[in-house]
Amino acid sequence: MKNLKLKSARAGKDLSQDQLAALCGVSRQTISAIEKGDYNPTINLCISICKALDKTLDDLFWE
Amino acid sequence: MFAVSAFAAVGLLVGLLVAMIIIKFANKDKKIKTQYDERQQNILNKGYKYGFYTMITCEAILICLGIGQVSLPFADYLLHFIAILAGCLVLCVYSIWNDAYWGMNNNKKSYLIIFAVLFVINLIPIVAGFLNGSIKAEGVGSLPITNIIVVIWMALIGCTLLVKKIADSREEED
Repeated sequence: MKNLKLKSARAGKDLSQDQLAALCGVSRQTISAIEKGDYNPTINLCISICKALDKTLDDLFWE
Repeated sequence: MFAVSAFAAVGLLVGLLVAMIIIKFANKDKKIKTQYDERQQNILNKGYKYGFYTMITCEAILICLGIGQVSLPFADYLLHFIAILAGCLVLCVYSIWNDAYWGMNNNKKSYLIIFAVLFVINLIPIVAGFLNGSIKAEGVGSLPITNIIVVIWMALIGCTLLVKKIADSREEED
């Protein structure tokens, strides 16, 4: 299932996938895979993404 | 005999040293170890598993052929070499296709230049064989078969990289 919340939060911060990936210490393809719903990130990566986007886990990863 | 082995061992060590230096300067952070993120690690773990299965399947086939006393037109060491390359090929293709081939600190351009140089180095003995007429004079048996296998292997990896790049660019357009 696509993670549209993450995509819109990233767009809201005016960040590209590359920029968010650099902030979280992962590759651009990993961010792309998370947004497409092809990869379930670990809790550590979820926290890194939330910190980079100033969001909570609930905001981005809870249905 | 001893002199040849010593030369081979020294050559191998020098080769490894040169490879480490090249990798160090090819990486963006000048570190020898390539860094992968958690998704890439997962993909690589699966890739190693599939590569291992491929290699033991090839080796099992070789054992069966050996038991059946089937003679192949290649030397024994080459058959094992092909089995290893087949395993590596599965790992490379799987990781390329799942975006886990390039690490986060890899400089793609530098790696592609190294790849191209190695391809040409392996291509030289093949082309030279055709040009100096040794293949015509001595037959196909005089072909540098190890170089041909490596060239085919590198060409397959290169093709996979190219196809993946085209597929990615189309996806971005969509």
